[in-house]
Amino acid sequence: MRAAVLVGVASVLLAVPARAQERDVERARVAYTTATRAAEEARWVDALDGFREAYRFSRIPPALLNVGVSLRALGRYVEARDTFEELARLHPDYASEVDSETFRREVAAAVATVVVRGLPATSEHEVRVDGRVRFTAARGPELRIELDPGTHVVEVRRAGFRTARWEGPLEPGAQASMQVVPLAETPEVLEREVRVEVRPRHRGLWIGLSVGLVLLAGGITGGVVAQRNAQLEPATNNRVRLP
Amino acid sequence: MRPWSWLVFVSFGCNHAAVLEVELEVRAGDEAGYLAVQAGPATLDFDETWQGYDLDVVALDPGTTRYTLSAVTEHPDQDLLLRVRRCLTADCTHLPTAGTSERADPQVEYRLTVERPFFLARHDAHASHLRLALDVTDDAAHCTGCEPCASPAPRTHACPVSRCSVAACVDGPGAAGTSYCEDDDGVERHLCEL
Repeated sequence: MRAAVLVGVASVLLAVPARAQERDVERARVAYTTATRAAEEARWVDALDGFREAYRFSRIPPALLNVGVSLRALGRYVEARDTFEELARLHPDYASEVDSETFRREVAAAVATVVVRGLPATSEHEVRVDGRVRFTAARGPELRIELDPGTHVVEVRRAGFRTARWEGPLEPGAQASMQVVPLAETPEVLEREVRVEVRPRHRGLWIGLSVGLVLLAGGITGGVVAQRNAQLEPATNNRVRLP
Repeated sequence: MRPWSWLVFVSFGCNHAAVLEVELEVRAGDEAGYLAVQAGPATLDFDETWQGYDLDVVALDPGTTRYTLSAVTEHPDQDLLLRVRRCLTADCTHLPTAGTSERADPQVEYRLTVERPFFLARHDAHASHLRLALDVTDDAAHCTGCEPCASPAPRTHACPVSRCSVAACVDGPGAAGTSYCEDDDGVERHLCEL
């Protein structure tokens, strides 16, 4: 996919105070260039960092698009989907131009889900995923946890009860169900049923994405470009006055 | 085909403004795109954006492209910086596809530091010439007429141009027809001697 040249970046940049703009544009340009080189070398973590920095300092949509691309390349589909959604929300015209919705849909299809059922609605539960607290006060009866494909551990904790634990692999787009039945007055939360339904995999959809997206134009290098000359005469009489 | 870029300097001393006319002949080979040129004083930094100095962009012709520019100053005791770029888009903002071999604009950049190319005398006007050859193809690495270039970044060439390379006062109403200019004391001097 190759997007067209984005022409609105200069105006975006011009909205920033001049002194800050110059500094930030240059910083963004360097970050973007570095990130692009990292992407070319499949160093996606470095690419992600660079594109994030470029977006932070420039707010140009191509940088945000590439954040999503980098996340996808890293298999971080949940974040990639959220990034494409953010792109559509913050830069709807650009998102439409590059058809980022297609990418969002494809990334979203790879997000796996663990559905925890049987949680009492009147009690709060701590839910940990891979050892990290995801929810501190989850209530039932159902809780959906979005995860990237891979092997995960989901733990549901409640004071006074035994921890319910599920561990297993999740393919792209898979959904697993985790049924917990807390037994009142007993130190148990039974993992009554863990059922994994693996949906058809969507790897075919990723072939087109694996190469990456065309990233456009913008004011990163365009901090210079934004100075398109309106004063110089064309051809043989271009003039620049030096101080 | 050899790459050629030409810088032509013209000085007019009678109105207390030295004028430098630049003529570039740039070889782009089969590379499509645009030539983006900026000129500014030596107080600028090539690593920074040149705020307030316009970027002039022309479409590259197949083979070579001729480009002209005039720089005007009332203070001739200064160097001139020229930033010459080849870009894929007219606004020089092409950004590459992640994961491909594309590169962000500029594709090639020359950073020319022309040493004190201006000549300003109380009388007469003068024309000077400096001929340089710039190759802005992907494999470009040289500038004929420049001193050896350094490469501060990939495909970025920092090239000093000695004032001794400038043939001053060749053309113009008060030109001597040589590379020597007559100063206010009637002494002919080459830019090397200034």
